[in-house]
Amino acid sequence: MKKNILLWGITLLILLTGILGSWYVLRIERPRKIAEIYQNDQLIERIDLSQVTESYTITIDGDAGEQNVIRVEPDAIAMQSASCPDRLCVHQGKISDGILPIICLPNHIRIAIVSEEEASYDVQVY
Amino acid sequence: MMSRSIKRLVILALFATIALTIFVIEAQIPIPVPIPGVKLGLANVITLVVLVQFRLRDAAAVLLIRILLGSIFGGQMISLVYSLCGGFLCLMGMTLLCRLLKNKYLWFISVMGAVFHNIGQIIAAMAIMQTVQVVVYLPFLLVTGCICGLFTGFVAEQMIRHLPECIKKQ
Repeated sequence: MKKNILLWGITLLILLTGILGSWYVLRIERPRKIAEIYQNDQLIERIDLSQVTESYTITIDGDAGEQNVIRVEPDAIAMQSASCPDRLCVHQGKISDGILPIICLPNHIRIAIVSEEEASYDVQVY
Repeated sequence: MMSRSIKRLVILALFATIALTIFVIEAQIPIPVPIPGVKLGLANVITLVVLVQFRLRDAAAVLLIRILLGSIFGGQMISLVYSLCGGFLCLMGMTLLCRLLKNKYLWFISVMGAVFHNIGQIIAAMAIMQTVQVVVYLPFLLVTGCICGLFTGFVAEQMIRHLPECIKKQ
């Protein structure tokens, strides 16, 4: 009988360790994603994408009347519209990692995502 | 003497078939959590029953056959490495505990077996992916392992209780 209680105790201990560990992992496991928006190579905006809960847009006006609208979403960022002729940046869609930045060459806009924790991309490629 | 060893062969083959069937059917059950490695582990019931009723090497043989054929039928060869690593660590742990607890408290042996299985899987994943980061999955696997292990342990207890006399220990 005593053994029974001991064994239940060990089981509950493992379960508790697992629950606490899961809770801990869930809490720390989101690396913060920071989007940096550059205009003419000058940082004009820094947005923590992990903190974004609702989508919104930012409009950036250039010196010669160019206009870029950037849509900020939870964990992602995209160029919604641009006044440039080719709109390559708009067609790129939204990005959520730092592999390829969004660049609007005619209007000198660059959006890059930097994570605080440098994740290894090799792990994610199978 | 001859007929006895034939009988054991047949019984072990039967157990291997049951374990394989459970393994293949279980692979078709969708798991509602998006964590790799989480499963019910129902096939472990058979491993545990064979381990208690027969010898370690019989259980190891049944386990090996189940994992090899299960991976062939299941289609994913990469899961063979995980299953082998987890399965045999699980078997070692359960053998040790069976000796220690004199084949009683099967539910506890099963829980520990599930935990050992998860640890083995994580070790295999660390070796394959060359990263320690997969350790973050361990807490989740501990929780599901405890719950599923408890369940399979009770199933194994019931199964041994209802096993026909002719299959029991020779």
